[in-house]
Amino acid sequence: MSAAPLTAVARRRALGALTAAFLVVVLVGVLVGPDDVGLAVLSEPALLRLRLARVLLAAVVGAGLAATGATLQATLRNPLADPYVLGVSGGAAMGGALAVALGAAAGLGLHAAAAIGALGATALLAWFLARDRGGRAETPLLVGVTLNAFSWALVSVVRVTISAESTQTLSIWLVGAVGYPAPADLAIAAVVTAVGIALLLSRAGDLTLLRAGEDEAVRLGVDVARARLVIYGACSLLVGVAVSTSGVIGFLGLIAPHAVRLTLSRDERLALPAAALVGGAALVGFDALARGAFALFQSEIPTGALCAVIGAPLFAVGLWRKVAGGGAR
Amino acid sequence: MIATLFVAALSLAATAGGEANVEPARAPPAAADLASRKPQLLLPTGTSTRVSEAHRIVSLAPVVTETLFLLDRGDRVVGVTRYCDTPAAAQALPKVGGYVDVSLERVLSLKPDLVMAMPSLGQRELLERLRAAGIPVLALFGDTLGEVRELVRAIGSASASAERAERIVADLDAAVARFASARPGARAGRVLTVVGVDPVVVAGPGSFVAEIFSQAGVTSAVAADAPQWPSWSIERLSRRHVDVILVAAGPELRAAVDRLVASAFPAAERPRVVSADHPVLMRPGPALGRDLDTVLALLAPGDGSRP
Repeated sequence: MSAAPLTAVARRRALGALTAAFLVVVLVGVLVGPDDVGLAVLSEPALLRLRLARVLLAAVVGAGLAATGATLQATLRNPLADPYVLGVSGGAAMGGALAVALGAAAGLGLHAAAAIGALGATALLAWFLARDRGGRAETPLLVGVTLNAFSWALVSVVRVTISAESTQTLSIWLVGAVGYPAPADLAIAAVVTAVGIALLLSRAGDLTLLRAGEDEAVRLGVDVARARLVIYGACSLLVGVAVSTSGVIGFLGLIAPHAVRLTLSRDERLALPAAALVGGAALVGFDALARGAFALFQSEIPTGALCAVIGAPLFAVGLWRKVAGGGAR
Repeated sequence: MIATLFVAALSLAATAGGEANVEPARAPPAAADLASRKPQLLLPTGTSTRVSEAHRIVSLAPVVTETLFLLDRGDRVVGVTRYCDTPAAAQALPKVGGYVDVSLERVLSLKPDLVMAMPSLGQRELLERLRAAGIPVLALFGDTLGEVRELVRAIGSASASAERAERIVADLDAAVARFASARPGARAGRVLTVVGVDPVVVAGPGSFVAEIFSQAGVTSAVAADAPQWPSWSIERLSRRHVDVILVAAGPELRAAVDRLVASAFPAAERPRVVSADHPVLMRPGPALGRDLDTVLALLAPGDGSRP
C-alpha cells in the first residue's frame, strides 16, 4: 500500500466504511452471550445494560490499544512496537498491582496507578531512545524486554504477598478480562480514550512525517520534541486506562495497525483512526468469542488469553510470509 | 424483583435461633462492610419490593450448595459453580462458572431471587455487580467453626428452613464434641494437616482445622505464630518435628506426600502419613461432622499409614 497522502475525500470514504463495519461488529457483539446468540437480550433490560457496557468497554479498550500500537510503530519506525512488547502495558500492570497491594485500588486509584505505571515505563523508554543517537531498531525492544522482566517480577512479588482472595482477582485481571464495568469506570475509560485518541489524531500529520525519519520531519517543520511529548503522554493515558479496566491484553496493538497499513494506507491520518476502529472491532469480536466459549468450557476464557491464542499465530503467519518473501516489507 | 423482606424474615429467624446471624445491608458492599465476617444480605440499590424467602437460588460456593441440599432446598437451586460436586444431584444443575470467573450474564439469565456467595473466594467485586444488576446477595463466610454455624443458619433463614438448619448445627456441634472427647491428640503426637502440595500448604493457626484440633488436644506441628494457611518448603518440613501427616486433600495427593516425606526425612524419623479415600477437612461446612469421624479413625495409632 502506498505511503502517498490520500485525498481528504478518500480518507473520509474509507473511514466512513470502517465506521459502518465497526458499528455492525458492535451490534453483533451485543447479541452474543454465554447461553445464546440472538435478539433475546433485547427483551431483558438488565441483561442488555450489562452486555452493552461490556461491549462498549471492549470497543474503547481495543481502540485505545490499537491507536497506541499504530502511533508507537510510526514514532519509533519499528514494526514490532506495541504497548505490550515495549513494556508499557507491563508498567501499567505493575502500577495496578502495587495499588492492589497497598490497598489503594478503590475508586480512581487503580486507573491512576496503572496510568502512572504506563507513564513511568514510557518515560524510561523515551529516555533511552533520546540517548540512542544511532537510532538502533533493537533499542526499544531491548528496553521493552527489560521493562517487562522487571514489571512482571514485581507483580509476582505482589502476588505472593497479598491475600489469597486478592491473588485470584489479580490473576484474572492481569491475564486480560474485559468484564462488566460499573458505569463510572466505563465513563472514565471512554472519556480518557477519546481524549487520548484525539491528541494522537492531532499529531497524525507529524506521525506520517516521522515515519520518514526524524531529520526529514524536522526539515519539514515538525517540532519533534513537542510531538513526542504529546504522543508519549497520550499513549500512556490510553494504555493506563486499558490495563486498569481490562488487564493486560497483548497482540491487539501489534496486529491491528499492521492489518490497516497492509490493506488500507500508510498515511497516518487514515491509518491511525482506522487502526483504532479495527482494534475496537477486533476486541469486541474476541470478547464475544470469550462469552460464547462459556457453553464449551463452563467458564469464560479471559479475553486477553483469547487475543494471544488467536493473535500470536496470525502474527507468526505474517512474519513467515515476510521472511519467505525475502523481507520485502 | 426481590427482597427487602428477606430482612424481616431473616431477622425473625435470627431471633428465633437465638443468634443474630444475618445483617442486612443497604450500603455498597465495600470491604469495611464485610470486615465483620458475619453473613450479610446485600440488597440491590433502591429496592423496595418484599418477598419472604428465596425460591430461585444461585450458589457460588460448593459448601453453600451442599448446605442447601442438606436443608432439603436442592429444588430451589437454579445455578451452581463447576466446583459444586456434592451431592451428585448438584452436578446436573446449570453452571455459572468457577469462583472468580463467574459469568454475570449466566447468573442473570437464570433469574435468581437470591445469590449466595462467599467473598473470601474472590467474589467481592462480583457481589457489587450483582447488586447493581438488581439481584440481592447473601454474603457468607466459613473459615472458622463459628462462621460455619452462622453460614448454615443464614442459609436456613433465607430458604425457610431455619429449624432444619438448627438441627444441622446441633449435629455438627455433637460431632466436634465427640471428636474432642475422644482426645485423639493424646496418641497422635504432633500432627501436620496437608491441604496441598507443590507448594506444600498446611493448616496453620486460626484455620478451622487448628480450631477443632485444639479443642481435641491435638498438638499442631505448625508454629503458633505462622499464617493461617502457610506454604512450606521441603527444607522447612524436614526441620520440623512431625509425628503424623494427615493428607486432607485426599488420595490424589497421597503419593506426592509420600514422596515428599521420603525426601525430607531419614527413614527412622519419617512421620506416619494417613489419608482417607476422599478429601477430609478441606471444606468447612456441615459435612465437617462426617469428616471428623473419619479423622478420628485415621489418627488412631497404626491406622491409615502405608508400609
